[in-house]
Amino acid sequence: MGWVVLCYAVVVAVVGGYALRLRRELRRLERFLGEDPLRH
Amino acid sequence: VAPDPLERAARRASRPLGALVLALAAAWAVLVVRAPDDATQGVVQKILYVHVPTIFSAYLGFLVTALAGLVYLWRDEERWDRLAAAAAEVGVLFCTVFLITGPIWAKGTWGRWWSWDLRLTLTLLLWFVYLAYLLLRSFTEGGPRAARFASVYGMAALVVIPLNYLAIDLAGGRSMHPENLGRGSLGAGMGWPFAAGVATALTAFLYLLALRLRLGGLRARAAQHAGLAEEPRGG
Repeated sequence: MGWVVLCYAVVVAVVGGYALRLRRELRRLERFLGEDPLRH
Repeated sequence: VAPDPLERAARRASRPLGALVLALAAAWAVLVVRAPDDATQGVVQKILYVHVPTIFSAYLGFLVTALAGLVYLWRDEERWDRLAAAAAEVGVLFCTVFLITGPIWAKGTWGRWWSWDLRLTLTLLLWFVYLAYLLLRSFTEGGPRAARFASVYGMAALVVIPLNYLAIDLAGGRSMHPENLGRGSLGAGMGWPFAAGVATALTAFLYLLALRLRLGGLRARAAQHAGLAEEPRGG
């Protein structure tokens, strides 16, 4: 059971971490460029 | 410069896709918990429901890279090159997850993390080939020449996918890796968790691709913005 939990935890951490990193940089650049995310 | 149609579509799709990923992941988790244990491997076989779907997403990413590269060569529009780069990056992420989950499963069943089996070796090669694609892109300063080279590389690299998929047949029975899944190879009660895993992984791929594509467009505009800001000082 331990291997299964480890496996799914790693997947969530890697994919979730990548998504959060992308979202953070998106917000930063949208602020920098003054683009309103709701406008488009 | 306004966002191009691809980026606008990615912006519209990213929020619904994110919500869909969360809903599918919740359903998938329930199905995996309720799935029966394998008669031979026991509970560790449940790694299958995440391991195999991630390589489908990686293959899809690399296929999109090749197709977008082809369209870039044909249309000479930068947005297709940005799509190719975004798909390659997300594909490499899923290939990395595949290469992490595989050894965990191997340790649980074979008692060792790795074997230089043809399937495993070709998957590692696939990962290196696309990692090299990303590194080559990051080492160049962009521009049409680099984009054309990346397009040709992205199309040529696609040849590793059928080799990887057919590795077990090519090994002629000497492979430690289980055979590719076919109709009827999953036991009773294992089909739905597997299908949910595939749906979640493919939707997660589309969600991450949408985010990464938007980021590519924003980075291009930010670079242009910075260039325009520097121009008066430069002369």
